[in-house]
Amino acid sequence: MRSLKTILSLCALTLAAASASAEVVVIVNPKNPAAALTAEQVAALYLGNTSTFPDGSAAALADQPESAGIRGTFYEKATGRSAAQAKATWARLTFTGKGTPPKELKSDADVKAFVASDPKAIGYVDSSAVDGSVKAVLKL
Amino acid sequence: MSSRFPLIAIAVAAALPTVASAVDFSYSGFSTAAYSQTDTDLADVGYSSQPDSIDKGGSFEIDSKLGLQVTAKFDEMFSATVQGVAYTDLTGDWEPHLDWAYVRVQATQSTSLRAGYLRAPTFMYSDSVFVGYANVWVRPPLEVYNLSPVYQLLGVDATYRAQFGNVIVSVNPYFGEGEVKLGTGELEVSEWLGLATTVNYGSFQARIGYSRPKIDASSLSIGPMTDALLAIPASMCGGCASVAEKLTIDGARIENFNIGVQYDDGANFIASEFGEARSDQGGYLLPDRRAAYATYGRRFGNLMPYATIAGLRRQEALSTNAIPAGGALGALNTTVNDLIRTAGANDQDSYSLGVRYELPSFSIVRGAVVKFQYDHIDADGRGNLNNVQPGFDGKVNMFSASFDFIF
Repeated sequence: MRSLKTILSLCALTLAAASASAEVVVIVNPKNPAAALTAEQVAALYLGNTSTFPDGSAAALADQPESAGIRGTFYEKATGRSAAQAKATWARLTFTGKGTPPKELKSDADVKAFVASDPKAIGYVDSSAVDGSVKAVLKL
Repeated sequence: MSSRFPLIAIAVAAALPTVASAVDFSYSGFSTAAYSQTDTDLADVGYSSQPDSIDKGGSFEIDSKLGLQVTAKFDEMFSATVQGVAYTDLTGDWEPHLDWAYVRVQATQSTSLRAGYLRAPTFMYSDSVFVGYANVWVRPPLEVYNLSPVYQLLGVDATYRAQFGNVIVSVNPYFGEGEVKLGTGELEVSEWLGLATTVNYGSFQARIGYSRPKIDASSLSIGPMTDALLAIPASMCGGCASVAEKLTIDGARIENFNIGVQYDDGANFIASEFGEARSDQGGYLLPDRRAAYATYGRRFGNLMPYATIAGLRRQEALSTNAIPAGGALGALNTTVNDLIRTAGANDQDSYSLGVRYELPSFSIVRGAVVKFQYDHIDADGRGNLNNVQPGFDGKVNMFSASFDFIF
């Protein structure tokens, strides 16, 4: 009886840990004046409707690899579209000269390094990867 | 016009080595392999005036495309882009074209300017109509997209974007000239100005487009007929001069007006456009028309079934009684009325059902889709079709399959 309880609570803990680590955080450079961004503002950038932050300054977008689960989660939660739909949107913008797709980087660490080194940068990483080198502006 | 391109290319190529170390090049491309077939040999489905388009014999060429794009980014402000696309043009040949070749200047955060070869944003998807991967249908609804046969602009455009909270407004004026080669001659646009204004709000997009091309088409003129009409004294035929004007495209000012809406919340996709083309002369060859379509698609994971309904209405009479039917002018009356009945587009409706399926990306293919589409076309007279033969009953059933990808 007692062991069953232990197993159950372990399961619950594991689930909680899994969902916590699945949290996607949008990050910008610490020099970016924005304290927070809304999902709508992030969606406008990642669907190519705007190329600037709300204060009018230019944005440099970072993406995660297509094979990474976080990419799908990010697009679903921030834009309401699948990563594939976003890709079709970027194809339209690329071949009509209206935009350049986000730069595809290899990992959370690479996205974090890119965002930490460029005042214009924005990216998204797993919440566990966030540290003082970047500023979290939206939790999804 | 196309002869000017080598000069631009040489100038760009000559400038490249000096700046190559600082230049960031990017390469990308798109392709469509498509097959379409109808159930009749008495009419062809295709872009306006396209010879030998889709019929019972089937066609791999009408919708198949291969596009390659190179962009050189010099710095935060300047870039140059060249896009070559092989497709079947209005002469009927599948061959490479220089579709885009422009220099872009990001003048301010909200304003960019471009100069060179561009595709005019006449309708909502006009500039991306060849990028099958980005579009829902196998081809855009031709009732609307055939309202204007000229796409390529040699000129300048500007894009200004402003943000008001979550509402993003984009204003895109353009100016230049253009030309399109037809099987029967050339259509030149000596003066072309237009404006497209788009408003985005979350899942909604609304767009208003206006353009005014001035057409010069001396090589298309049906000179002998108009000369004959103009030579007849007004005392014999008061209306002959106005009939001649309606048969003259050369010098016509066309106005295209269009309004479009798109809603895409990830699960539901809706797109609808209304377009109107008006011309101050040449109406028997390029009749005034109104057209509209509505598409609804619903996504189930990677699969999206969609349905489209489209209609085209001619605003110009299909006959004239300006020329006396009997007597000396009887034969001319018959010739002119035969031409009016068959030259310009007529009413047409179409109903389409299709599915778009997203395939996983592989190797250098960054994204791929397959589409299957069935169209039922119901035309009055020649409708919006090409190469219509006697005995055609106005009904066409068409099946299309395409494989679109980007790399």
